[in-house]
Amino acid sequence: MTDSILINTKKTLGIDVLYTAFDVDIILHINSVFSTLNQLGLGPIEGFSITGNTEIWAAFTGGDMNLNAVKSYMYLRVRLLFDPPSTSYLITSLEEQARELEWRLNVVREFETYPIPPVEPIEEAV
Amino acid sequence: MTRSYSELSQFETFEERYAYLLLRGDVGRATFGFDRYLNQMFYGSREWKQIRHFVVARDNACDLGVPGFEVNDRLLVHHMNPLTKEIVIYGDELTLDPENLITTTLLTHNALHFGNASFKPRTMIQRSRGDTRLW
Repeated sequence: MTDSILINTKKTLGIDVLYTAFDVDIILHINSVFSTLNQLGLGPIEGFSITGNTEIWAAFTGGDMNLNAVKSYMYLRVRLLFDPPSTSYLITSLEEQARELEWRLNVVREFETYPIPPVEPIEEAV
Repeated sequence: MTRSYSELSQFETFEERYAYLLLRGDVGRATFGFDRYLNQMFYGSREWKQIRHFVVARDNACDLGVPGFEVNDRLLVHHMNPLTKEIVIYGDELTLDPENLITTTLLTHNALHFGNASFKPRTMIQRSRGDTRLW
């Protein structure tokens, strides 16, 4: 199974891997989502972007399995940008799911960034 | 569990899926509608709202999850195996398991619970040139 970011996203969007007519559009939206993820504090500090189907998820997540939700998050956000549904019900559901994943990814990031500091012993007053 | 999403998704047409899900129940009983306090408590819970969004997204907001039957009005998420008061009170997995849930319209939902096999979903009417008369 491929781990290519572009191929995975195209597959979830229902686009055949060999059909490349929309690749430029999808890459553009994928990179927009990566900039959002960067603002959430995820991925390489200098930012991350793709140019084709060679970039893989591990390059973004660093192999951290706690960040696997970025794959679903990518689908939801790219779907809403590239192929927004015609019904408000579906738009709302996709947005709600994306928001939940955003929150959960933020929790992963917060846990890494702000560990509970060790408690220092209180010095007794002389 | 007698009905499941895995089995349902094997059927491709709306008619096949409708026949698979048909319940023929009594009004009120099948959806524990007589116990309004419980009904409102359950359908207002955060857990239900979360799983509801998941199911709608999974089914692409299509009636019984069949492509081409997009729901534009009065969408409901239906329990394939109906809930009872006891199931909700004691927290059975049937309540929030996506395997037991499917997107429907109010019309289809009511037909599944109280109707018969003759029900036909309301489909989109194709517009044509010079079609200016109301239906």
